[in-house]
Formats: sequence, C-alpha cells, structure tokens
Amino acid sequence: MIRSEWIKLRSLRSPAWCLIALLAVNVLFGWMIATAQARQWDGVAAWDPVRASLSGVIVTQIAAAVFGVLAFTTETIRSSLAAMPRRSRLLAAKTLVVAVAVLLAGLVAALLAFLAGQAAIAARGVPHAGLTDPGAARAIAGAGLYLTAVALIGMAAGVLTRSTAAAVTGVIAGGLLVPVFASAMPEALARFVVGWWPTAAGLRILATTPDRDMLDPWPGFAVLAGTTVVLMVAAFVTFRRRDT
Amino acid sequence: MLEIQGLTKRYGETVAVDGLTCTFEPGRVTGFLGPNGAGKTTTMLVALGLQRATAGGVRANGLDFAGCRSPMREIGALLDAQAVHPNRSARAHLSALAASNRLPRRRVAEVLDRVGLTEVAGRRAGTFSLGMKQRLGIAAALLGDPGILLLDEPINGLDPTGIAWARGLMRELAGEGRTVILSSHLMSEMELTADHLVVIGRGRLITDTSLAAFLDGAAPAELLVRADAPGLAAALRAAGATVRDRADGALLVSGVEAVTVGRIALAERAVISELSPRRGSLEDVFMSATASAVEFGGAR
Repeated sequence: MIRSEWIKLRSLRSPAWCLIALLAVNVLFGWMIATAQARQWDGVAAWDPVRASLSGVIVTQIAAAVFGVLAFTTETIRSSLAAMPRRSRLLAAKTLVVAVAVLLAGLVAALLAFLAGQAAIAARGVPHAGLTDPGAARAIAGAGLYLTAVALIGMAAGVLTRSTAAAVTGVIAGGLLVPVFASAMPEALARFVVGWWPTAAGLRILATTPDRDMLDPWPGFAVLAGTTVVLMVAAFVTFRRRDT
Repeated sequence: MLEIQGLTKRYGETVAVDGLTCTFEPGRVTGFLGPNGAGKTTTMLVALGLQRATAGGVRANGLDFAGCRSPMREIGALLDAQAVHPNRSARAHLSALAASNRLPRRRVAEVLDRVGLTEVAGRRAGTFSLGMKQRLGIAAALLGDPGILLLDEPINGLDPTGIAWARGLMRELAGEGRTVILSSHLMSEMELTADHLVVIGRGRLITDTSLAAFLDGAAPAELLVRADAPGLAAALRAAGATVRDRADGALLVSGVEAVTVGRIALAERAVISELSPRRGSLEDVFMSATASAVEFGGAR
C-alpha cells in the first residue's frame, strides 16, 4: 500500500516541483530575513540569529500545505477505492508518504537556510550561530517538523473539503492570515492568537532565546501537533464513513 | 458470482435502489440495463464498497468485497475511464494499482499487452483518446485476474475495431468462467455481446432473463411479406390478420402464422418473394419494458 502511494507520488512531476520550490524559497527567504534582521539589529534587543535564518518557513509553509492538499484532492478516489476498499489503510499510507517526503525536504531546506542565513549574518559582523550552538539543531529539526505538520493539516483539509480551492484557501487563511492580522484584533483575542494560535505557537520551535510572553519551543510545537492530530482524526473518521 | 440481496439505497428522500435482489452468474456476459436514474451506478458503487447500502447488501463470490485482503483479485471494475490522473503514465497508473493489492509486477505488462497499449504505456494518460482511456480502464479491471468484472459503459469512445475487440474480449472472459457484468446504453452492442439481461427501473428489478427470452417474450411476432398481389392484404385481413403497409410495398403481418399466410397467398395465386419473421430489436423491447420506469421522458 505504501509502495502504491510512493509510485503515485513519484510518477507525477508537480509534487517534486512543489518540494523543490519549497526548498528554494526557504533558502532564499531565510537568507533575506536573516540579512534584513541583522541590518536592523541595534545591538541591544534580544537577538535570535537561528530563528531569523529559519523564518522562511512562514512563507514556505504555503508550499507544504498545497503539497498536502494536492496529495489527496488529485486522487481519482473512486478508482483507488474500487481497488482498495479498506479506506483507513489507503489514507494511512498516503499520510506516511506525504509526511516522510515533506519532512526530508523540510529538513534539507532548513539546514541550507540556516547555513545561508548564518553566512549572511556573519558577513554583517553581527553575532551568528553555529550548528552546535544550543538549540540550533533542535530549531532546524523543528522547521522540518513544522512544515510536516502543516502539510498534514493541508491533507486533512483536502479530505474534509474534497476541494482543492476550498482546502488551500482554508489552510492559508487559517495558518497564515489569522496570525498576520492579530494586530488588528481586539487585545484579548490578539493575545490569544499570538500566543496560542496553532501556527503561531508552532513557530516557537524555531526560537533559541526565551520569551516570557510566549510558550517555550516544545510546548508551542505541541499545540500545532495536537491540532494536526485532531484534524487528521477528523479526516480519517469522515473518510471512512462517507459515500464517494 | 455477484449476489445482490434486498439492496436498498436512499439519498435523503430519494430512493435510488429499492429492495433489489438478483444474481449475476459466472460464465456469461450479463447486460445490466436500465434507463437513466434506474439505480445501475448506485448498485455498482455499493457492490464496490464506495457507498453504503441503506439495507441489504452485495456479496462477491460469497465475500464482502470491502473486507477483502486483495480486492482486485475478486472484482475488477471499470467505473469511469476518465478517472485517471492526466499527468501520470499508463504504466505508472497500473503499477500503483497493482502495488496496492500486492499483485506481481509482471501483471502490468500482461494487461497492457492484452488491451494493446504496450507501445504507449509510457505516455501521459491525459494525451490518450477516450478509446485509449477505455482500454486503460479495462486493463486496470483485468489487473487482479478477477472472477468478476464490473464494466460501466466500457465501449464508449471506442472505434469500430475497438468495439469488435471489446466484444471479443468480454465473450472470452465469460468463456473462461468469469462473471462479466456489462452496463451500457448501446442496445445494439448489448444485443451482440450479452447472453443474459438484468433490467432495472426506478431501483427495482424489471426482468432477469436470457437475451433470447427477453427478445421473444416482449416482442409481438411479426412477418414481413413481399408479394406481387395487390389483393393479398385484404385477404389476410379477412382471415383475421393485422396488416400494415410499408413504404416499399411490403406488408407487416401479425396475428397469423407464416403457414396461414402461405395458404392465403396460394389461394390468391400470389407469388411470394419474401416471407420472413421479424424480431423486435433489443432497443424496441427495452423501451417497451421500461416505458413506465423512465425518469426523464421527453415530450412525445
């Protein structure tokens, strides 16, 4: 079953391009954000060079989400289920293949972004981080995990909506736009969104400097992971039951 | 063998299939017919576990299809030839299906060969004509070497050579002892391919009979009579026959045996150049059998 899903993924060009785009954009934005933040740093405020170089995931999570959505919505589901009526197995195999593909691409993308970003920061004479610095390896792995979680949320959205357009819109609005517009919200709500909204909390996994107003890295990521699990369970239950 | 037992499927208020019971036997091609909205597709979707029955169920060779370990070995289905990712090659499409059922890889090459797509197996399915997609769909159905084949409109889009090929293939598959279920609206093709018919309308069984019996049973026997005697028609009517004139001068006679027509012609000293029984076509018989079950009848 897993091999079947792997053949499906491998035999199309768009998923590969999606992951290559993810990688390229992640490195480019990591480098850009690291350069911009290093230039603006006043030498006094808290400075997190690791996080700066990995912040490209805020943009590349779109590619991860789209990858997850398309993995399900481009499926000719009737043909697949007529050949394999045990639906949970089909969805589990798909979940595994999507997760592994995005995790590997995400880890490579994060590592390259880290190296490019740190080089850019060092070139400006601003304190930079090395791979062995505390939290750096965890933040790089965390960026890969973050993208994987977003891809699975995308896939769950694809299963639940059965529509590419609806799922992509939903994931981008929920994952990206809600935290961006937090500053326009009433204060109590804004505080909740900034601290606890799954994608905002999940990004804490990139941080290597403590922030008293925010969750610690792993608890933050646990909020995102928990949301992913809930959505995936909803997807499995719906997929098992519904008529296709 | 595919057994449908008391199958009912409701969508909200709409009853798509209403207590349908019938059996598709192995070793023959069974035509599964019905007007649009009769419940054919729903029945097939339930048989494949794609939709849940409201009541009753379907058993494939005594098994519940949805619980099979290697379902493609039980039922091979062609539901929609267009349901192939356009950017995936025919070979990759079949390989993925084969892998999902742990079928040996050589089956992919074998079925590609059997449907004649070997040379284009590496091409993207999106570049295929509808006829080629039908062949690919048939190849997918054959992958697991199944005992039951469920083919929904498999000859749409095939060219005349392709149609003749598909007809031969279906006869061959039935000859190998498989249960071949063929759903189609092309009556002339059904007449040439099927041995047996299951006809449904409004979700209920209308008839489950052999093709020959269906054609004989419902059609009034008619004789085509061609003769040079203008008085023959009147003489036949006098003998109690119903006679219609055809535009080409021949007569369509019903209500009397052929031998009676011969006797009357002899008495009238008429020379008969043609006297042949005319069977109603499957199309005629189907239309009259399902007339009351047509959901979307146009104005006549």
